[in-house]
Amino acid sequence: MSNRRYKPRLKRGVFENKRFVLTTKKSKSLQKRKWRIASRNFLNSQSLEPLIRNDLVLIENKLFDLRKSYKRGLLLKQQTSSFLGTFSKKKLRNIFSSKLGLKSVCNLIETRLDMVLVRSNLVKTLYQARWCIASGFVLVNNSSTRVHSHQLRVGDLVCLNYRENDFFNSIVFNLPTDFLEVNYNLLSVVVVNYPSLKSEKEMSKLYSFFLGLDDITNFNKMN
Amino acid sequence: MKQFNEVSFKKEYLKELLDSEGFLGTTSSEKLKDSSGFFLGFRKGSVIFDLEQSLTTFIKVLQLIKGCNASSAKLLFVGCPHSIEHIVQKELNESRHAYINENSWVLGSLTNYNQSKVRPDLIVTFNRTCTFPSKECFKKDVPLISFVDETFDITYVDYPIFVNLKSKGAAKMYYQLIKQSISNV
Repeated sequence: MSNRRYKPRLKRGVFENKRFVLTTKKSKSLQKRKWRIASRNFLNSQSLEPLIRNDLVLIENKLFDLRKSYKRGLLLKQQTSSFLGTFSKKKLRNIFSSKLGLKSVCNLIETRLDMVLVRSNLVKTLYQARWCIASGFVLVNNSSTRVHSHQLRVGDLVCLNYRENDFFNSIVFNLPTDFLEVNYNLLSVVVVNYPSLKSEKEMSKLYSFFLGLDDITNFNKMN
Repeated sequence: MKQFNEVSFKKEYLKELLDSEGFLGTTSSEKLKDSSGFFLGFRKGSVIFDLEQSLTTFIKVLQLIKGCNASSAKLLFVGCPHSIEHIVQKELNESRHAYINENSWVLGSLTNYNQSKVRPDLIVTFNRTCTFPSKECFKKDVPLISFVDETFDITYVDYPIFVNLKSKGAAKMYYQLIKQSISNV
């Protein structure tokens, strides 16, 4: 009788508590999800090149600065991924892949719907543009879209039904880029050209930082 | 042509290193936390190196120097084991590579290129005394291969090879590197 009082309560509590035990339904769903992720990674990794560093090529071209290039590549990658904060992971992977050059990447970035709104100075930031699109203030060719990664073409018309309170009151007002035509009375934009028709110097002026795609692709290959 | 077999090549050097006590370090200092991956353990107050790991880096270095020899790159050898000093000086003075004694190395001769005019593509060192500044190579982006003891600081070394520097096996390994850099194949 007296033994019951001194039983190890803590041990019994752990085993009897059902939160620590995985039920059969949960474990099945976990296994499925694990297998799906693993198979996807495996199929993608087959197509890539083998990750072997060739030191001889680096020595011949006098590029053997592995520690410095690591720091440079990491900083550039962090800069671009923070600037394009609203982009999904798949889009960022396409940007950093080696197949696309700088011109095609500029087309990918600049003709997106949310980026066009930012470049035309109708909206201040990318996050604000995403909020406008998601809440349905934006029309593309007089039809509403709620996808902020919608890719625009030449001749498309974008309208905004949302006006900020202190929109034109700011002291510094930058002019929009050449490949867009903006009407500030109606709050509408027309895409006139692709940005890739410009030279590389003018393209690099669009960004406040150096968009070094070659360094980032090297960084992704090495690590 | 005889095929290059890694396993038999390793066995040759392992036997020589084990016979001449190439696995023994000098002392057990307190700085070993950074490079603890290269050691197996302690024995009577002295460090024991992981020889398999150092031999794998040695083979990697041999292949790198073989490629450098084909592409006519200039190497610089700093320091030498005491037993083969005369042979090395003769052989390297005839070739395009350079040899400098470890004690006569002037500090800052890589960074001040305008005065010294020393600009090699690759540097190999044999550190009997720990005087060679590895940070100069890091500043000038020159890769560094070094035969090293546990007393040497390996933060800026790209290819460290841990052996007992007084042993006969280490001298044989170093002489193999020089042969590879001179050979006309």
